[in-house]
Amino acid sequence: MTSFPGRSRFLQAGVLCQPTTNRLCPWFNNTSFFPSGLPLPPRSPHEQGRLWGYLIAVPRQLRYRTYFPDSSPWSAPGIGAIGQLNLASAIMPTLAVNDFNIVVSVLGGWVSLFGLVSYLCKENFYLSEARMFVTTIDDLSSRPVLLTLPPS
Amino acid sequence: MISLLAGVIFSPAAANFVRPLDYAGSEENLNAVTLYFSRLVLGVQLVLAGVQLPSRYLKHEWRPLSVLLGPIMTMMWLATSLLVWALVPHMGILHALVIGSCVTPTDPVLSNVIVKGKFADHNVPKDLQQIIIAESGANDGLGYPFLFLALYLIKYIGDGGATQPGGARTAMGMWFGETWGYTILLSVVYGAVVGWVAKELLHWAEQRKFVDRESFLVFALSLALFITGTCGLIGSDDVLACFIAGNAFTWDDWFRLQTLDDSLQPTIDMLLNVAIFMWFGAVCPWSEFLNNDVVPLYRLVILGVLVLLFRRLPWLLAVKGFIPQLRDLRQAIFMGFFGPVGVSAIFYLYITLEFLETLNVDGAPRSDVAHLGETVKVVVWFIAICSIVRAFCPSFTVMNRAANGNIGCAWSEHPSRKTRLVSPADLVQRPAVSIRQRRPLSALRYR
Repeated sequence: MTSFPGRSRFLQAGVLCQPTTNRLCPWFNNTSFFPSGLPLPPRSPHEQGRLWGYLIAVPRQLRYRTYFPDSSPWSAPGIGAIGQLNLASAIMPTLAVNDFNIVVSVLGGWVSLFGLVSYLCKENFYLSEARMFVTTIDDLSSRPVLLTLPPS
Repeated sequence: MISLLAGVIFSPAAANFVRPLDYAGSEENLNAVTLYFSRLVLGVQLVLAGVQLPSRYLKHEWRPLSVLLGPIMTMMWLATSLLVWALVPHMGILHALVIGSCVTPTDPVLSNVIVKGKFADHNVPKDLQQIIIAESGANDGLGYPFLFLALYLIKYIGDGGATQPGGARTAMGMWFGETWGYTILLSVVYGAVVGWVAKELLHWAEQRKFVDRESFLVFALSLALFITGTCGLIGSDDVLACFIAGNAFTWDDWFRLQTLDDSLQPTIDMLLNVAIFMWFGAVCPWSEFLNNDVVPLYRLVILGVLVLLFRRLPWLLAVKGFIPQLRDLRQAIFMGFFGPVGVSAIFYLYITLEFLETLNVDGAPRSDVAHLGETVKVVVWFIAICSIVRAFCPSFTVMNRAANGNIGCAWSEHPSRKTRLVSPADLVQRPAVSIRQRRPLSALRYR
């Protein structure tokens, strides 16, 4: 798959073997944090740098947390939910969809948006409405088709 | 004050012409109607207040405003809470903090009454008027953090976590996340974006002559309605959003100068004020001031007087040096003494009652907050009534002039005195150009 050197830890002779313990975070099983196919974190402090930590590992951990909110790799299993915020209850806003809000926003929005083009609408609709009426009568009365229509 | 009296006269207590409880059907509906009415009035008033402030006011005056909105508001909150805690019997400190936060914001409606009109124009300098309007507008929406700090603590640790597990940590998380992040930050961003977009749209339409005069004038009002509605829909702080939007809407001063000599906005202003104070007069629980089982009347009176004296005055005197608009002691006394409590307090009162409803266990109030609703209602209404009466009372003139040191004479009649009608800041002509017309930075090099 990938030729990332870190994978060779778990791949001996092409067979996926038991993972070793992570020295930095002993209670944390590397394989569950990085499902197969993903590159593993660098092994030595030399491979590990700020770039890896902030650009790759932190976003990945956040993504992992959203998938599996019950477990956090950076906390020991016994400690439980330290460091985890229950985002579902904290961010979910209290929407207040009631009649007053709907009516007021629709009214305000309509008056604003219509107000933007009010003169245009009045000018066009009212003037052209009157003109349309006049022209229709003119056209109809001067049109020979109308005169040749048989009486019903 | 007059319309409050009229409301009382027409209310069920007296003439029985206006019967709010009958119209609303039930007590809950009546609370909801009062809450929505005050929300509507606050929203419209705050957009108008934001519109009336000069160009980029919040940016120019961020220093005194942050003093007024940070330490001063906190001290007002704590002072009122301590007074309530001391004077109302059987009162927990958290419950006192709820009441204190309800009356913390100064009211834009009553502030408008104080700093506008002929008397104010003669006695209050222009920049002092503006900072009072800006403060009352901004701190209206900022009462949320104070209120919900106390409310969340009550919710999660008020009864020892029996009904709402989570403890103080959840309460703090909710406070930071929901109140600061969702309510305050989101509403500021939303108001700024909507105000800015509205300004650009109106510019665009006006340049193409698409807008007729009536729609142009009413645009700020419809913007207020729109923001009140949409911000209410997403459950954010519509009051703050309205103020920010009003400021963003006239960030380049264009709309303000266009509508400066127009009387539509003051007319709407007046109409809303009269209506809401009549409604307040009609729905105010007058009889509960006398007959309630939480606090006797004499304590309420003492509390009202002490709150009016110590809620704001000492703290404003303390920070007088940080606010350049306060040129001398008299102006600090003026600003400190007239920090009215009014529509916004009633607004927060009904928000509190609505929140307490959600704590009910099996349809009955939770044991530790069983009396909180009634206490908050009585105390906040009483303080608000005291403040309304004081804001309008005729001795206002006399006291202000006494504070001036020359009883019977307004400042304008003493040009020799130290105070000035027109501040030096007003004499400086600020260029009213829009951002687009500003000279490029490269022009500086050749000067």
